[in-house]
Amino acid sequence: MNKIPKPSELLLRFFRWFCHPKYREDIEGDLLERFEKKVNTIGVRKAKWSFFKDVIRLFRPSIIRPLEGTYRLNQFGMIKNYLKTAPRTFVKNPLITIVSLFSLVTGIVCFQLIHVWLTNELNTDQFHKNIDNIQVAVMKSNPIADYKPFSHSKFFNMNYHEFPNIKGKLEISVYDNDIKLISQNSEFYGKGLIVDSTFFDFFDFPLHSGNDKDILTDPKNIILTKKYAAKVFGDKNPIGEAVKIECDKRGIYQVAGLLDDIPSSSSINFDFLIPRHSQQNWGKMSTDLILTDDFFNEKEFKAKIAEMGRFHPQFPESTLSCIPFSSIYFERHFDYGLFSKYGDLNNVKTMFIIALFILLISALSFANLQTTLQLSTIKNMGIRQVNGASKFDLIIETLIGRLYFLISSTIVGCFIFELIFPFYTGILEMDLDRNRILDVAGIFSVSGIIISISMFFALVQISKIETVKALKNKLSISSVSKIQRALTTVQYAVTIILMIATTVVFIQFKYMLNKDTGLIEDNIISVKLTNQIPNRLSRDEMVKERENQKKDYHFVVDQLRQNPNIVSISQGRMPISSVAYPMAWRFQSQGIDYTTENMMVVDPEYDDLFGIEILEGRFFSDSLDMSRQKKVVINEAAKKYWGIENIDTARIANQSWGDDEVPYRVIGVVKDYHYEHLSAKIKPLMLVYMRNLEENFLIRIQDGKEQECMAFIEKLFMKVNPMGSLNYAYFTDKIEAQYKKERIVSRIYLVFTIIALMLSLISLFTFALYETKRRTKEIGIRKVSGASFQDLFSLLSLSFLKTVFIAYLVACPVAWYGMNKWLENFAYRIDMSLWVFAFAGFIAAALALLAVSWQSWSVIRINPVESLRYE
Amino acid sequence: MGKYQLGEFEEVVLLTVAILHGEAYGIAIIEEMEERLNRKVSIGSLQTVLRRLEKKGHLTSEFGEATKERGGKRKRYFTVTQYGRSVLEETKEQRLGMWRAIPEIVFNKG
Repeated sequence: MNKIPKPSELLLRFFRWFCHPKYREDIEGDLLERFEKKVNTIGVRKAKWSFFKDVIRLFRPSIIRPLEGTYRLNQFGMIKNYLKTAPRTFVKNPLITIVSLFSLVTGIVCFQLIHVWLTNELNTDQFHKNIDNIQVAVMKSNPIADYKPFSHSKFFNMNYHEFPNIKGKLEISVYDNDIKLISQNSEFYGKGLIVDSTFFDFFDFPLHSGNDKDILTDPKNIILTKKYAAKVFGDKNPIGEAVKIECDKRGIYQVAGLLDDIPSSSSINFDFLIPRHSQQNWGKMSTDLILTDDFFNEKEFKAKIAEMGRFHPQFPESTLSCIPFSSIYFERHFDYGLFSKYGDLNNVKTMFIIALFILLISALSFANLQTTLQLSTIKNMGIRQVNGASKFDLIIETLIGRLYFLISSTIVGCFIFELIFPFYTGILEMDLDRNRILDVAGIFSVSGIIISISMFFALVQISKIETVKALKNKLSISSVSKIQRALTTVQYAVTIILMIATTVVFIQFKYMLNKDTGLIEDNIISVKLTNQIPNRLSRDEMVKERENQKKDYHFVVDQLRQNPNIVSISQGRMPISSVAYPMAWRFQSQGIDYTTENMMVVDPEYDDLFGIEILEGRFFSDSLDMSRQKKVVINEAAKKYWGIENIDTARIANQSWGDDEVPYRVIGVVKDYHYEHLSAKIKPLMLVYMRNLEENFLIRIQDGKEQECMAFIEKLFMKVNPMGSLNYAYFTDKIEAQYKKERIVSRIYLVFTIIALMLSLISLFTFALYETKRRTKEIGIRKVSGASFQDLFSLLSLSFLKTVFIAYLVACPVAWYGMNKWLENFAYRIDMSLWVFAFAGFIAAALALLAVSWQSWSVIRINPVESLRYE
Repeated sequence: MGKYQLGEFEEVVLLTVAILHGEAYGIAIIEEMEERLNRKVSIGSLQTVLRRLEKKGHLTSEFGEATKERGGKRKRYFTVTQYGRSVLEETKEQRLGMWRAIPEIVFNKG
């Protein structure tokens, strides 16, 4: 049989789409009839062509259907209805509504808190317009050394303007607490920067008062930060006041400008700025900063300057380079006094992951709760559908319900955020700059994201509703709760991962922080008692100052020694991170190449003060050794590192000090102690004896005599520095500060884990609530048939425990892998024992059981007569 | 009178519907017109006019029965209303009046 020719389906569909529905049927009939007739008279091809022409000619205003909205005017009425019914549903299910709102708000507030911190961290220094065009000049003195900030212009007479795309140079010297500012009769230490007048071309610190940014061109001027000015001058207007500056230079300056407080997002920090050209030859080493334009080619520039320092007799092996200023905060190429803080990319990443976890958990929890809520209104939806609501209408209804959550969660979220924020910055121990409008926007959009996720699940659910079943309240619950079960499982898995992670973090930190440093830590203070002598005084003045200093020094030492409450005194630095000085050393007897090893300057009392144990040989002593002799005490790690067998014959060379010709003689070996962060392995350490009268005093006080001693030390200090104010630090405080980061991280983990656990439990609880309610009748029947309490209890509870168990199985390997990676950051680490996992599993199961069993119990207790009448 | 002036095409369509009397649906009208007037008529232009005339009240329409033909689509049959008829008649009167007014000399071949 011949196939019956048919007009193009596409055209027909097009016609049906555009045609006014009232005319559709008969015109389509006409079209078809005409087509059939044409096929018989003029052939298929021509008929098709004519059909095409007909359809196109029908596409005219009087035939095309009008826009939809115009005849669906009643939509607003419907929306009004939705707006009214949504709150009724909430009032009917107060528990779920409150808990939904709670999990939503918790999620967004937590996320926003982390978000504020992250943006603050990532925006560090971004308020300087030129931040991406600033380079720090660096040099390494030999191939194995690290790059250090340096002044190429000063040492190598480098003229940066000879290079293309370089706009300016800024030389900075940093005086950190070794510069004094004297106003009338009081002295204040502070952090001063000696800078070129180009400072404000580089950095955009806002001037609070003072006219223009040319202040620094006048050598008489000094600029103070507002905070520091308040400290020095109190309420008085500082502008125009004269101050005296004392460090290795002395000079009188006039306060010509005030800077607004330095933003917390600045990585550099200072109290005052002094024009460099106000004095000749500042004693502190300076560093060059280079300002480039946007077309600066870093690679090319580095290649050009790399060897330009080698002509200098002091740096024959040097390599010059530069490092982008903006990269220093996170990459911390070196420790440099200009920077007051560094970021930690690891921390940023961890926090980011936690933020995502929290977001995920609260989104799942919310979606889960809303799914439960929707199940309770399923009959309602059925009725709506019978009355002609399309799936689209149901979606609109759900959407409007969620809009209530969006608005209320934003309001409540902002309110709570405002309340919590100060505590949060307290926990983090940092200042955060914040922008209220951005916070509100952030909270709103995160809430929007969570609600969109929940909408997705709602859509899946709505698409599955079958009207008849919904009306009978017989919606196949197993299929719907499959989604819920999956959600709960994922959520619980994430929670268990967080729990395991927190436990591991806690144990590791506890292990690390309680690890014996090998030193006495208590009652040791560091205090500056002797004055620094300014450089480049005239010869006579110098001699006089030296004399004075010596006199002061002996006076102080005598006084300290005589005090019975003082156990021991020494001079030097406290053994905390980045105090040891890396230098190039090598073990001569074996001809090994130079490597960078740590060195610390000590005096003969140092071992006694910190209780350092001598394993071999002896420590320095005033009777046998003199300051700056070529003798060295090494630690066990160094001995092992070089494989030194006999210390009497061992010679160690220092590349900068004497090299191979005058090597150091090893006189003793001390037992390893931690002089760096406890997460690092103890590295080789050389102790060298140098007496420096200006160095800080280290004083160990007898236990319980702190107050008397401090009073005594203060008096002593006032005798030597009649105008100054005493600055001191406890060793234990310094150690505390060193592990601040660890403390903060563990706190953060703990707080967010508790939140995650809470959210998960809540959604499990409500899930159980509705599940047991659904089974009330079933329980009654079972009870009548003779089921015991235990039977029913395990029946109800075990199904939930199964969810937890699956989550646990998923979580364990993930957590194990992740935490193993994390532990690799530590030289001394705990083994992840099985009981950590067992513990997390136990807690998860126990809490889940608790959440569920309350429900089960209350349902089982109901008299079967009651429960059978239920519904 | 003469409230509504019928257009030429409108008039022809109205007349055709009247001719077909009870059998006037889209295709039938087109065929009748094509046959009598020897001109091509597209469905689009016809339908536009039909709807317009219906809106003005010259025509009414109703669905017929569904048949197997035309893909099972029903036909829409048009009929001329009383008002349509009077308009047609008025038009005819006007035309005739005009014809009558032409002096005989004009068309006289002689």
